[in-house]
Amino acid sequence: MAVLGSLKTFKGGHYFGLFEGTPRGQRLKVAPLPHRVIIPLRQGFSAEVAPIVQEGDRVKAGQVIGRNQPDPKKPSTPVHASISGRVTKIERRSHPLGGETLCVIIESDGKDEWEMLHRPANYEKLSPEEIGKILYEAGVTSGGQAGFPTIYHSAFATPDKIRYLIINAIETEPFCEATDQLMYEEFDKFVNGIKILRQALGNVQVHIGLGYNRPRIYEELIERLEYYDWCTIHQLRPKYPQGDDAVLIRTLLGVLLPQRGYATDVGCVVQDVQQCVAAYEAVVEGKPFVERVVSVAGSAVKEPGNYRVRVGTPIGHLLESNLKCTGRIVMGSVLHGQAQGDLDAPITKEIPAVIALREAERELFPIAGLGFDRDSFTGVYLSVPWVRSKRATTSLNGNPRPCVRCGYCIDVCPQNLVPALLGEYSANGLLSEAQELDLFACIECGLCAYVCPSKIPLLEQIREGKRKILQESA
Amino acid sequence: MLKDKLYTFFEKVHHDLQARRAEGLAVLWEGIKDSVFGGSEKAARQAPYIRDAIGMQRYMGSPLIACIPLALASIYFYGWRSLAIIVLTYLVGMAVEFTFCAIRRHEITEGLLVTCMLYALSLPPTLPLWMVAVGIAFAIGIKELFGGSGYNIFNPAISGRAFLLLAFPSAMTTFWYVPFNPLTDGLGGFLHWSPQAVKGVDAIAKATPLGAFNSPDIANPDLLTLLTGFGRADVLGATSAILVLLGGLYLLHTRVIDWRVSIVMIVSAGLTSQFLSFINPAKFPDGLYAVLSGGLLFAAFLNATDPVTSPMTVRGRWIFGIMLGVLTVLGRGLTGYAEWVTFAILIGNMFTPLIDRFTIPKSFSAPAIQKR
Repeated sequence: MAVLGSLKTFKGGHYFGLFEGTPRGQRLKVAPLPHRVIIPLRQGFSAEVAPIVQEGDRVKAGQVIGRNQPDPKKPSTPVHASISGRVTKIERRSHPLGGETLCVIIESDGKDEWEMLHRPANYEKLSPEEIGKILYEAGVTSGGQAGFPTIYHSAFATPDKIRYLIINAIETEPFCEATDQLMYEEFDKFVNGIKILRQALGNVQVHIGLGYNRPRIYEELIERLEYYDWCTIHQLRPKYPQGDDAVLIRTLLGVLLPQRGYATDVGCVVQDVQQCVAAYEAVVEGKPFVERVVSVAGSAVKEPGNYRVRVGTPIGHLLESNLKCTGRIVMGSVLHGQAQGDLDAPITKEIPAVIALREAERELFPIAGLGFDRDSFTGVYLSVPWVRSKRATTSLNGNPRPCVRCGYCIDVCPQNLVPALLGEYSANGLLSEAQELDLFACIECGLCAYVCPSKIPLLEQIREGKRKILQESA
Repeated sequence: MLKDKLYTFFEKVHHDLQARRAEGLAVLWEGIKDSVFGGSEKAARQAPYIRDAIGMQRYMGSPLIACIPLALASIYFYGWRSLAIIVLTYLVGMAVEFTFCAIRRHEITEGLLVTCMLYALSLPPTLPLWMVAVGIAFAIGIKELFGGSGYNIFNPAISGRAFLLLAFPSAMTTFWYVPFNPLTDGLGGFLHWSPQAVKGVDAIAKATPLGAFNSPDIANPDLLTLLTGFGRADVLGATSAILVLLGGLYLLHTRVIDWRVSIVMIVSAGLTSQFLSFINPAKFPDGLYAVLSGGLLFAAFLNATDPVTSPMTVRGRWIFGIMLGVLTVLGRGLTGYAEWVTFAILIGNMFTPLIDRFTIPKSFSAPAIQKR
């Protein structure tokens, strides 16, 4: 019998209002095939793989185009073509998540021919090693920004240390609705994907973190999983950043993550909905992970929607003819992601949303407004519930001022830090003082900078401080 | 579009001022532009790309909203002289602040508006106007000497009031007006310059509620008088406890002030006074009287909660609140000043950096693992 956890939450955090241009509840649509894909040979933080195709080669969707020998020190998975066509170029380009990497550019032939993986007869009989091999070959990587290949992320190097599989089924990032939608529409694949991932980890305990605003999924999960004693389903308050690894593990298990550590350090593997579905498709259908769900959202988007998108699709393909105005384009997360000026930047496996925000607009005496359509951590605006879409522009909504130590950043910090001091110390080069206040416990959720009424770029300052410390210690 | 034209105009004049090397004027001009556009035109350059709708304008505007009923009530209770005090405070305060900003080339901050309002509302209605000007000049000056809003160690409004208490003790503590009473005086202060202008000597009150408690031959006002302020002689803003409570509740709702400072301070003062009244009822009133008399409620909601000079950690705010409540009651009973909340806050301000230092919360993380 599945154990039903109580309604859990964590200290700090913020409930975001529904921003304008959020594709909530929109059914997944298949994005039209791109004419051209740009596939980076480095995924997330993993190592760059060597290309095994050459310019001019014909490839099919799902065909491996780059791979390294498995190496636990430099984790990577094979990289697959996501459309069929011809390799036109292999060149170094900037990676959408930062840095430079070798990219394979494929021109589509419009046929969409596939090369599938070998499909095993009965997946329920497979050993953990065999499943791990399939996931590796299918390129199923973690959906978070870390993007570690599953074969190592799931710590096959030290399989005895993994005790929990944690399923992150709560999406609290503003604008990111696609993974939630995937959970509704591919519920069978999701549930069976959980079972497969558990099988791959040698039958560990599974904890599912689900938003309590998803009662239907909750009931269906109970129906499907209630006979298993390895499964605990937790209902969580949908408060940002509940989906972060450190916060999720702490909320579900009460275990603190070490600073600069990963979930595997405390015996956990965290996977999200997209990973579960991808694992199912790889193992049961033999489909490599070359297509993921992406929300195309934001206040500058004409028709926000949730799409199934081939990996490597340039964001311009999703946004062109769908923009109201030139906006700020952000990949992944508006809170801690990176703005992207290049419309050729490709969608990668780690990116759950592409968001285009209207630029800041001049307003006369904005202080005088009642603010029905504004999202705020404080209660100074009448953010009434019946105005459902909150304004989302890149405006600071205030003038930069010295810190008045209002303490909002402390109130929202999910890690119980003092962001104001961390930012101040980092910006002024007091790095050892910042480390004494546990600078590296920061998960970079960006809430402190979001709520700051003095508009201090706390996230940027903290990141800069971390960078400096890592440089010095290197 | 009007706003675009206006924006270009602001930019152009700013540019011209800089070209003529009038840096000080350029800073002031920038301040006017910022107050018109409220920073709405400034875009986030780094993540997060969306920001909370609250800016310093709205943050500092909230105490002002809470003070509007108090200011209107003070005009009713004590006549248009109250407004004169408030306006004079703003004029002098702005003059001093702008001078400093122009010389030191730093931006004009919104805190000034709150400081002036809180200062004016904490003065007795009888105070000569020149003293009002001296006090606010001192308050803003001392704040600017420490580096302006955000860097000051003492609450500016309170330091101005404390300066007046020490420099002009008799003007600050001996003459009080009996306020106009809505039950008998109709439109009251809205028609008159001051109570004295109508009633002459009759308008001079014997004592504030705290003064009445301290002198055995004056009867203590009852609770209803304390709550409504009808017939209660006190400082401009703190006359009606109900209005102060309303403003405080609004501020608590907006999260601009923290209940851990305000409510904790009020409760700790009430409990301390209640307890000490069992020991020495001549020196210490019962808890409710202690809370409702004097400027305790006003200071707890509006002065003690000043973010810059109160601790920012949660535990620190608890300590600060308790400390202020206890100090206020002890000072009232044991020193020569009837109202001690001013000095309690100043003492608390001095301890704020120390409290903050020792109440840093422990982060939710385990120590880093030494890898391989």
